[in-house]
Amino acid sequence: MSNRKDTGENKKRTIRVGTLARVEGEGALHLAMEGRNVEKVRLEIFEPPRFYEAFLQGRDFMEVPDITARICGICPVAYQTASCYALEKVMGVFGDLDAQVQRLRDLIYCGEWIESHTLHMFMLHLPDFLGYESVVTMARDHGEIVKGALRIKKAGNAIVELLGGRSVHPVGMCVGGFYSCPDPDDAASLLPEIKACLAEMTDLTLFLARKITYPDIQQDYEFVSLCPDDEYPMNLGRIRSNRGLDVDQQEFGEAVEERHVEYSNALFSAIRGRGAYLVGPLARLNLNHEKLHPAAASLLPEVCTAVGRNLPWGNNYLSLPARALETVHALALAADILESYVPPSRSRIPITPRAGDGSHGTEAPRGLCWHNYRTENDGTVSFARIMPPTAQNQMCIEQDLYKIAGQVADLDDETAAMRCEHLIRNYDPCISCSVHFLRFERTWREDPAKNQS
Amino acid sequence: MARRSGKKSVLIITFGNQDAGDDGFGHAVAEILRADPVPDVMVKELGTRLSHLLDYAAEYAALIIVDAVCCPGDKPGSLMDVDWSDPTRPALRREEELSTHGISLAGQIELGQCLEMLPACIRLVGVNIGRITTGCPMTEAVRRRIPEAAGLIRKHAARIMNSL
Repeated sequence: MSNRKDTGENKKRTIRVGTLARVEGEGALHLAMEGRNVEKVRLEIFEPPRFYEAFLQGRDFMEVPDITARICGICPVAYQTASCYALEKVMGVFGDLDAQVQRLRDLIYCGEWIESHTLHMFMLHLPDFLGYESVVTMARDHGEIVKGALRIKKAGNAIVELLGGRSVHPVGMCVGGFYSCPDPDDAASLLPEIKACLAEMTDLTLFLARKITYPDIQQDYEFVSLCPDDEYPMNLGRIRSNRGLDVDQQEFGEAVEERHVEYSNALFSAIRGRGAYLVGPLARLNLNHEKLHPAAASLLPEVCTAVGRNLPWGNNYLSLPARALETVHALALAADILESYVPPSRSRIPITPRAGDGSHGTEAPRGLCWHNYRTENDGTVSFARIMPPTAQNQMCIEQDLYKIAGQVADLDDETAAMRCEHLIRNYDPCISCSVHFLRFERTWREDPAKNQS
Repeated sequence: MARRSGKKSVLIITFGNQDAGDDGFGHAVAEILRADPVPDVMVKELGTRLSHLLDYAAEYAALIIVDAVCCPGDKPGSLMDVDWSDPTRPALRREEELSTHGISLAGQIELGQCLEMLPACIRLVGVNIGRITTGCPMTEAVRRRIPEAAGLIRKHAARIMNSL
């Protein structure tokens, strides 16, 4: 919806887009401009707080993974893994998991990455790049691509269902491991489809690299992600950045400060003493590309050549090929795990409740999801703190919008709004997680300099 | 049970967030249907994941979708029972009129039909929402429609199965 108060270019005008499509959650975007200058950018998240951290207090520690999984319909595994590992630290059993159980946690996370990344890339984000209003209109011209993506997405869901009992809000994981482990025949039955999807995703990755023109907006981000020594980040590792941050999981809560701003119900996160930082596929790839599965690593040179940039990528539009490479990685890793699967002798380790404090973050599809818990002697949760990825990316989203807003000043209202929405979708934001609809509002103020001339 | 078409019979998919007041309608209907199952009819709950619809529906000869809907002008608790292919059904194509889940149901159905990933027979049984606040109970107007909706779905399923 547009309200132009005057046809003159220096006059005030306001643009409102009632719903930002193709994101999860509700929020608003407000740009205030004076002539061509951006005066104010606000990503306003007005979805009511959901108080998960408060109502976890007083609950038994074993209930936490299933409760936190309800925070997000798209990345429940991220919430389950982060809470399980954090509470395993509290209970003194972190690191005691059987190696095969650890592999199963990687496998279920592969399922979530495959499903979430494919949904975002092909159903939500690709229409922006190809100039379609939605995946529905895009499918009329690119039906085979959409069908291929839907097949891959379904395979991801099948993996989550295998280990979680169901693909929506899975319930299989618990503190100490899994309630039960899959039957080898059930695991083996998924393998042919996962391998077929790996071949399909390889082709789609090259399509995304070769056929899409990516807007070139370079930003000097501080990239933050898990950085395990010997594998691409998913469940484990220290938290590092390209500017020297190198902390243990427990220390991350001190390295980051969370600020409340009046216009958002999600806390803004910043590296203490520095400021904004970026989490998500671009950060993971820039910091860990040498640890990609060979199936994905072999594609990287051609992808870099096709998009015209070597790593590190400072252009968040390239989060699309980054997600594609990560999807290849996840499919290949899932195939490896399924191929070598032998049921562990025990699905979970016994735990004796105790008082303690533990923190852990895992790599949700859209970035680091970090949890901290404290318990009492009987395992009752006395404190919970959760930092979702979209909340951590809010400052970067606003900084990106500052940069693009000046470039869209000459565009008509509808086109300007679409460009801003496209940029926001680079982040695959999950506003529901961070505290749902995004409204867009742009206000122009008169440019005094132009009035004088 | 495979029908003459080689496809399984009837799939009932429910959507909604059971923790969000009237959005728990689909879950409540699913619980009733599962408690007294209709033979050869599959009930699948997909929560708020509308995007999962196309994962399952292509294998079936008919699809019945159950969801809480927001249809401006209708009273909370009013029951909607439509044949998706009926040209006289209410105009529900605008996303924001039908979905509370980010990706619209209408969009998913249109996508599925475009890609030939949905059965020709699609029905929607919905209830118009009153309150969908997280943590709040379902409104009485919606709650009392649950048994009626379940009964309606059983009748549709039986009729469709007889026609396959």
